[in-house]
Amino acid sequence: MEMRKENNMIGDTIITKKLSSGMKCYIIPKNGYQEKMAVLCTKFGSNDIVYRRPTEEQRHDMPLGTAHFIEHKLFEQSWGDAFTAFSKQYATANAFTDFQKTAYYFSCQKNFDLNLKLLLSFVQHTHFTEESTEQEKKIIASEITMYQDDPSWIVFFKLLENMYHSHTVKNGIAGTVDSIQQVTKDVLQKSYEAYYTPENFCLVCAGDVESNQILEMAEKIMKPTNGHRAVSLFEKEPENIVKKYVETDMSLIKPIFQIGFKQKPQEESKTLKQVYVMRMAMDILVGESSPFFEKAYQKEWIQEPMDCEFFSGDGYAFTTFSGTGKNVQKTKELMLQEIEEIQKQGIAEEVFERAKKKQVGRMIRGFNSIYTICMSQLELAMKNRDLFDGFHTLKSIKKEEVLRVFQKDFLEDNMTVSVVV
Amino acid sequence: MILTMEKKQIQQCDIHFLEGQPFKTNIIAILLRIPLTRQNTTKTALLAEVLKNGCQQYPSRKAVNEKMDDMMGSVFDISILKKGQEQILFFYLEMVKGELLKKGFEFLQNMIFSPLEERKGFPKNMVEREKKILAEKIKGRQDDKKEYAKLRCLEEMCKENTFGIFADGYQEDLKEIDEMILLLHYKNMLKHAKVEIFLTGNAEQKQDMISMAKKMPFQSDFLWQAETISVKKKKEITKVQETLSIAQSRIVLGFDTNVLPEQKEFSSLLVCNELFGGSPASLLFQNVREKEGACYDISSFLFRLYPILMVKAGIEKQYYQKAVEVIQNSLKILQEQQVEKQDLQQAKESIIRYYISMKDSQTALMDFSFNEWILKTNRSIEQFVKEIENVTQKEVQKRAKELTLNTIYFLQ
Repeated sequence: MEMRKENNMIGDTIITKKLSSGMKCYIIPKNGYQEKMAVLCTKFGSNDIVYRRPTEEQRHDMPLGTAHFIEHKLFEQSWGDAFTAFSKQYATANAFTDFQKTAYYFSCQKNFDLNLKLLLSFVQHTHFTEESTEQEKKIIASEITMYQDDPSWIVFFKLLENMYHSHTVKNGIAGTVDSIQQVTKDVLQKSYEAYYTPENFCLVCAGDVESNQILEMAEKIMKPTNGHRAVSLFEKEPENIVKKYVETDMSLIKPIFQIGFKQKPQEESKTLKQVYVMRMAMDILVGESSPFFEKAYQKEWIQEPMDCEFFSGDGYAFTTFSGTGKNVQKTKELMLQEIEEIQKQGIAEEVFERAKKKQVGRMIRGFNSIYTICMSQLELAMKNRDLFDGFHTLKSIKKEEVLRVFQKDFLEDNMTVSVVV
Repeated sequence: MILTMEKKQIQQCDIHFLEGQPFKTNIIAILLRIPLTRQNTTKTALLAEVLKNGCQQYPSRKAVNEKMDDMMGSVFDISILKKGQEQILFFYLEMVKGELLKKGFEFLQNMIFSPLEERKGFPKNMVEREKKILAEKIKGRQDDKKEYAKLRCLEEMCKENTFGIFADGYQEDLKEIDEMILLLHYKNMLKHAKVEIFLTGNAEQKQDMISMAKKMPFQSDFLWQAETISVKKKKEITKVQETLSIAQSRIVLGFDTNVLPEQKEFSSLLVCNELFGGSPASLLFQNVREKEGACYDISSFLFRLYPILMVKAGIEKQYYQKAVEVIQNSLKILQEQQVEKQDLQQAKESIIRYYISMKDSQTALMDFSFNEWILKTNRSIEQFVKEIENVTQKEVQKRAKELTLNTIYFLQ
C-alpha cells in the first residue's frame, strides 16, 4: 500500500510503498533542488556470516568479508562496468558496506530515470568469474592493509575487540587478508542469492523527483524471487566486556582514544527510540554545553568536543566517545564522575529540554541536504521506519528514559578504553 | 529557486541577501576582511579561538553552547578563511527558520562587540590556554602530509607576495602575543576591516533580516586594503626537497596560469584543468596512474582567487624523476594535440554540474557569491555556467600553453 505522510514542522513529504516484489520504497520529493539521488540497499553487511533458509535445517557459513567482496564485484556486469555506465549518463555512483548492509547509490542532475533503471537492474544480475574473483583478492587485501595504517580505524576495532567475545561485529568490515582467500566465485554467487532478494532490498530517493514514476519503474524492473530470504544467525554474546584497556603504538604526534560502553541489545520494537534516547544521553554527558566538556577543556585534557556515536543491530549495541590527547585516564575518570553525579542528582528539566530542542533542530536542519536525507532515511529503513517516525519518536522522549541510560548503560563495568599512541 | 542579491551600503559594511526558498535554516555570516600579512596572521588566527570562549553576556563556551542548544540547536562557529591576499575572521550562525532571527542577531552582536575583557586585554588565562591549543594545531599541520605538501609548495611559490602566508598562524609568532596585544588587534579589526554580512532566507524574511543587519554597529571610514595581485614572470624553476617521517612520498608541481582570477579566460582555464588532471578521465590520471603505474593518486587543481594551478601526487620515492616527466609530457599533449569533442563536452558538463549543484547548499552559494564579490565580477551561477558552455577547444589549448612550471616540491 502506498502511504503519503506530511510533516508541517519540517515541511516535507515522504511517500512509502512496499512493491509486489517485496522491496520497500521511500521517496522524499524536494522541489527546487538540483541534485537527485537514489540509494538501493540490501540487508547484508559484514556481520552476516552465517545464514539459514527458513525451509532448511542446514547452516551456511561464509568467510569474513563476503558482503564487502560482493560490493566490489557487483558493478562488474556481463555487458561491462556499471560504474562507468553511470558516469557516461552524467551520474556519480558509489557503494559502501557496513555492519548491517550494503548500499549502492548515485546522484545526478540529468537522466535520473535512466540512472535509476540502471541501479535497479544491475543489482539483480551478477557476473562473477573465477579470474576476476582472484584478481579482486589483491585489491581488497591492499585495502585491508591500508586500513591497518589508519589510526582511527585501528582505535575503533581494538575497542570492539575489548568489548566482544564472539559477536562478528568485532571483525573488520572487509574481512582479513586470510579470510578473503577462502572466497570463491561460488561463495559469492550463493551468498548473493541468499541476500540479494527484493524482500531484503529498500530503495530511497530524494530530490526534485516524481514519486509515481519511480514507483512504477521500480514495480516493473524489480523481479520477485522465490521469497525464501535468508535468516542470519549470530553467536550468543555474554553481557560482560573482554577487557578494560588496550594500547596500540603507531608513533602518532597526537594520540587518539575511544571510550566505549557495551550495552544490552534491545528488542526490535524499541530500537528506534533507543537511537534518539542515546543521542540525547551522549550529548547531555559530553556535549559542548555539559559540565564535563567545560571541565575537561579548562584543564586542557581535550581541545575539541568529543565525537559520540551509538551503534546497534542484531545482537549488539554500544556507544563510543572519541577524543584526541594524552590525558585519556583523567578524561575517563572525569566522565565516570559526571555519570555518577547524574545517577545521584538526576537530569535537570532545563538540561533535558535543551538537549531535546537541539536534536529536533538538528534533525530539521538535516532536511537541507539531499545526501543527509537519503542516508538518514536509509538507516531508519533498516528498522522499517521513516524519517517522520523518527521525528515523532524523538519528540515523545521522556526524561526518565534518558536517565535510565545513565543508570543501566553508562556503567564502569561495561566501560572499555582503546588508545593509539 | 530564485536567487537575488541585495547590497546596502552602511559605511564599512555591505549586506548581501541570498534568497533560497527550499532551505530549512537561515544563515547569518559576518566576515571581517583584512590583508593577509605575516605580522597579523597569527593574531587573527588566535582571535578565532579566543572569541569562541564567549562574551560578556555568555561568558564561557558552555554558556555560548547552552544558548545555541536553546535556539533549537543552532550552529555557531568562528573560523579563519584565506581568500586571495586576504585573511578573514568568519562568524557563522545557522538557525532553524522561524522565530529565532532577532535572537540570532542579538547573539552575534554580543559575541562580536562585547568580548570578554579584563583590564585592558582579554582574560589572561583564556589567552594562554588558547595559545597552547593553537600551537598544537599548527604543529599538527604536518600530520596531514598531503595538505602539508600543498601548503609548502604554495609558500615556496609565493615568497614574493602574501598569498603563501599561512592563514592559521605560525608557532614562533605566538610567543609575542599577549592578552593586551590581542585585544588591541581585535579592536583595530573592528574599526578597519572591510565587513560583509551574508544572509540567507525566504523572500518574506528579506526586509526584516536586512534591517536587523543594518543595526550592527559597524561604522568606520578608514579601511585596511590588500594589495592587488600582480603576475611576475619567472625564468627558473625552483626545486625544493624536504624529508619527514612518511611512508609515501608526495610531489607537488606548481604552475603559473598567467590568467587573473577575474578575467573571463578563467572559465577556459577551468576546462583546461579538468582535462589535465581534474577527473578520473583526465590525462594525468590516465597516463601516470593507469599506464605507468608510478603513483597512488594524482590530480590537478586551481586556486579560485590566485593565478596558480597545482599538480599533486603520491609516489614511490624512486619514481620522482619519472613522475615529473610524465606530468610534463601530459601537459605537452594538451598543448599540442586537439582535444576530442566528446572529451571537451564531458569536461564542461562535469564543471557545470559542480557549479549548478552549489544551488543545493547555502554555504556553497555564499562562497560563490563572495568570490564573485571579491573579484568584482558579480556573476550569477547561470551567467558563469554560460561562460563555461561557450569555451572552445582553441581556448583550452591556449590556456595549456600559458601554463609555466614555477616550483617542484618533493616531500620524502
